[in-house]
Amino acid sequence: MNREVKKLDLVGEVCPVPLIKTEKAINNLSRGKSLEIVTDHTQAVRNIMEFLDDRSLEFEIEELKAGIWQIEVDS
Amino acid sequence: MAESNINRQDERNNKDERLSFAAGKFSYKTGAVLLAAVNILILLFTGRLWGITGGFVLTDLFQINFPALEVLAINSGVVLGSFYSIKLSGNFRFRGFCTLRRGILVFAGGLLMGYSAQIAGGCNIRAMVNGVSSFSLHGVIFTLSVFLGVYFGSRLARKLYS
Amino acid sequence: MWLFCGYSEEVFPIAFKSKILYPLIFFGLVSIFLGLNILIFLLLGGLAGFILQRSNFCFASGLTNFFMFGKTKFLLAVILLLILSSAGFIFYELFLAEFLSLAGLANTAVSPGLHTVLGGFLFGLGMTLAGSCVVGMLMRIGEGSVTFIIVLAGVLTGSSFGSLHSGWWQELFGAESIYLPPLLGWPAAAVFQAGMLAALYMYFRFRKN
Repeated sequence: MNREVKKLDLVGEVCPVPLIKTEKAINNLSRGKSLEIVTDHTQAVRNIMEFLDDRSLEFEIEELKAGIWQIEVDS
Repeated sequence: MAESNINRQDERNNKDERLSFAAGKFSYKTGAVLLAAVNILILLFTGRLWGITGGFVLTDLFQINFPALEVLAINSGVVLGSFYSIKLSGNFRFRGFCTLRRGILVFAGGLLMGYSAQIAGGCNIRAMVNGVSSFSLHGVIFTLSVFLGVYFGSRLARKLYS
Repeated sequence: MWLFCGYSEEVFPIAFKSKILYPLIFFGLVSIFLGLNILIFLLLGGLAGFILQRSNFCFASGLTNFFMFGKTKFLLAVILLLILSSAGFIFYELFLAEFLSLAGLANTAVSPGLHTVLGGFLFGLGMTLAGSCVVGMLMRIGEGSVTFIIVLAGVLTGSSFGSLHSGWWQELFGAESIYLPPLLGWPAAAVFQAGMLAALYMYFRFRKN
């Protein structure tokens, strides 16, 4: 998989920042690229998953260690 | 198109199950029903409507004002209960180490919340939820004003954090 | 029950020690040194905190999601909370208060006025800046989030100054508290409240974005 991956590091950020930055990153994501979001805020995980579902975007979510999640979105 | 979205949603729910994040997760509605029960229990056990900021007035606490100390005990319980819940689902972590800029903004936010809760006669639980649920006009006025505040706050947040 | 919490059955004995035994020891110590009353308050709060964290119930996130993205899931849940609390409070007022010799709801009404509007507005603004409401803040501290300790410091400072000033605000803007049941009588007040909340629920449930 040779997709170019853009990274969005949201570790340490709390509401409403994660969703604002995610929306901006998704809007700026060009076709063929992937976005890798890392967050440790439980609310952000919920919000981002719902946001991506609304936009009908495919994503994979993985728990990196206790309390940090990585969401990879394919555009 | 709609059908494939629904299938994706099912896949997603199955994926979710394997994440400890989702183990035992409650929906907002479940939370609401259970919180209503706790709300009434607190009324029964303290004789007063549930409120949070009543336990944070330092002048009251230092004068050993019992109602304030009771509220402080309940508030401490909230922290412990939340800790227990997240420990149980294996997601505890020391998180949220923010920048100095964000630190100043959140302190200001706290300042506003504490001050305004005192002048309005309650926080989002005591004045918004319980104000309306206790059939008092101040609850409705407070709720509408909070919505206005959040509306403008959201616009400010977009400018500050984009 | 352990499956519900996400544990398999082999882990049961270890889970028992840390999830049940230590809390029980903690409860025992609290009862002995602080009294049964304090234990009950801690447990009530603990129940609330558990539920709040499990459902990730936070007004700031729920409301900003509505204003920024039009998401109504949280609002609907809050309306449900209001409906159920109102029902519980009616039951309390009419059947339990006298039985338990507790104060009636009329004593809890707070005087409305311009200070309520200003307070609400500043509260909403503060919530968005801080990233949580006051309950949410406590819940997030339990989750381990250090940012909200800073928020707590702000809340402590703000509350303390606010309580010094609240008398002044009341004098300037305070009016007689307006409490619905004496105005409409109980059945009408209950029906009115139920009707308004149900209408709000329907509106948010079926609005097209």
